Amino acid sequence: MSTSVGHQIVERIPSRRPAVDSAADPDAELIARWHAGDQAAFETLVRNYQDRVYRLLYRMLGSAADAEDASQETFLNLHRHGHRFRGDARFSTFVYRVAANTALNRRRTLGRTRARIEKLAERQATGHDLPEAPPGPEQSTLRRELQRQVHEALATLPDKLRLPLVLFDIEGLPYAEVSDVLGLAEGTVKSRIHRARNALRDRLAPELEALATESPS
Amino acid sequence: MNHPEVRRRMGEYLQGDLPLAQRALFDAHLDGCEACAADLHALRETVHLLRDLPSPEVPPHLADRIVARIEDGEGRARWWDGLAAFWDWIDPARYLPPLAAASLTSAVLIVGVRDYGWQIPGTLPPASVEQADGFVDSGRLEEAPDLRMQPRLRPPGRAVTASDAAEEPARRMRVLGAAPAAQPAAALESAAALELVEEADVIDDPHLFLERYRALQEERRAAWLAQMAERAARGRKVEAVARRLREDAGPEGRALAEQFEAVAYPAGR
Repeated sequence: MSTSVGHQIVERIPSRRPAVDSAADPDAELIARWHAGDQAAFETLVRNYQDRVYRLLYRMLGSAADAEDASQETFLNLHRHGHRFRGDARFSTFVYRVAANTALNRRRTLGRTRARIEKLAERQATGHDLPEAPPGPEQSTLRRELQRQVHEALATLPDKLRLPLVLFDIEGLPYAEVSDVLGLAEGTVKSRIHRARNALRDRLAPELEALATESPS
Repeated sequence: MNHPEVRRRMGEYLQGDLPLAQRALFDAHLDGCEACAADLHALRETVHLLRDLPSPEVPPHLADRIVARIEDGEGRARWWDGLAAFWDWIDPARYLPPLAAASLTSAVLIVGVRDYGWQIPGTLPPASVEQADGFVDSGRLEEAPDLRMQPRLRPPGRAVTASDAAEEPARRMRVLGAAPAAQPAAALESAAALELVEEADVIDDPHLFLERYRALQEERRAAWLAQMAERAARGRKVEAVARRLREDAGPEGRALAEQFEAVAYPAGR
């Protein structure tokens, strides 16, 4: 494969969010009201976080139905045990932890990973279960197909690589927060993200090559 | 900079974490190496594809359903959550002498398995407590082995401390359903000791290996090396570990490779 060595190649991929600042938690007031018994405050928290939780669970579990069930379970768990949240980290970190936990738990319960991946591939092949955001006009068919492949390849990564990758590259959390969510050293998080990206790249090699041929840069 | 180093540091490069001098060397290598440039290009494309994945549409009534379930009482703590919290609170391995803790833990596990099976809530103490607490479930040893060493009751965001490290092996034994071995706290006083469980990463990554080694107190290094050598031997990785240390971790890595081999091959193989 011939690839041009240009400026595009040395462009950086920056973090998408600033570092964590647990001192100023934007949810502090809502949490205080909820802890004081105001259920409306919890409902607001649910509405504020449902997108993030659902996205993470969708990428972790691979199907819309599982992601919805797990999202509900996440918030129920949060409600059951939220009084234990002591404000040592941001509430968003706590929510991600509960969601990550729910995802891992659910995958364990469901077991049968291989069967699920096959089922997922089958559903994807028939056009089900894909995110419904409409593609932009500039988006090529090949790119859409690639996204399908990426989603599928993601499902084949082991949890320990997939979780940090999803939190960092898809959810856009900074390293420090991923490290907080997973309780791992930052160096370990970086190393796993890199390994996960490499694994994905290897799995997507033919598609990436086709993409490079389609739009040489 | 050579090929292996360029490939290993691509992540840092993409993230802009590479020091300026290293970055210049990296760029120089890229200018003359089409293979590495293509590799980097593919990696960057992969990241872009990931980040460009369209967001899944959240089911429109998700929040309403959650709120309805909470109103129906499903959001209340269940009786076994209380038991789990109580178990966590009494924490037998911490407060009772190790032998008594072992007996109590084993007795409860045996009775739990005999009469109720593993699944009864409350008899599977640390894993379910942690899950309830919002921590990554340490009980998932098979699916996410590297997440299993979450110190119990560590508040979100708090760094791992020496006491967490000291407590961990006994807790791990409890999760596995075995009696907790007596662990002298002094033997695990360094927080770095906790990282021993990351053996797969450490063994596979020469830089991490070197980093861990450096972080240890001098008198603990030999024991740590012996432990790593034993793990590497189990996975038939001794040669690979030594080679990576030699090739990728600079002069210090080469010196460490010698020591590692001396420990791994005591008979001078």
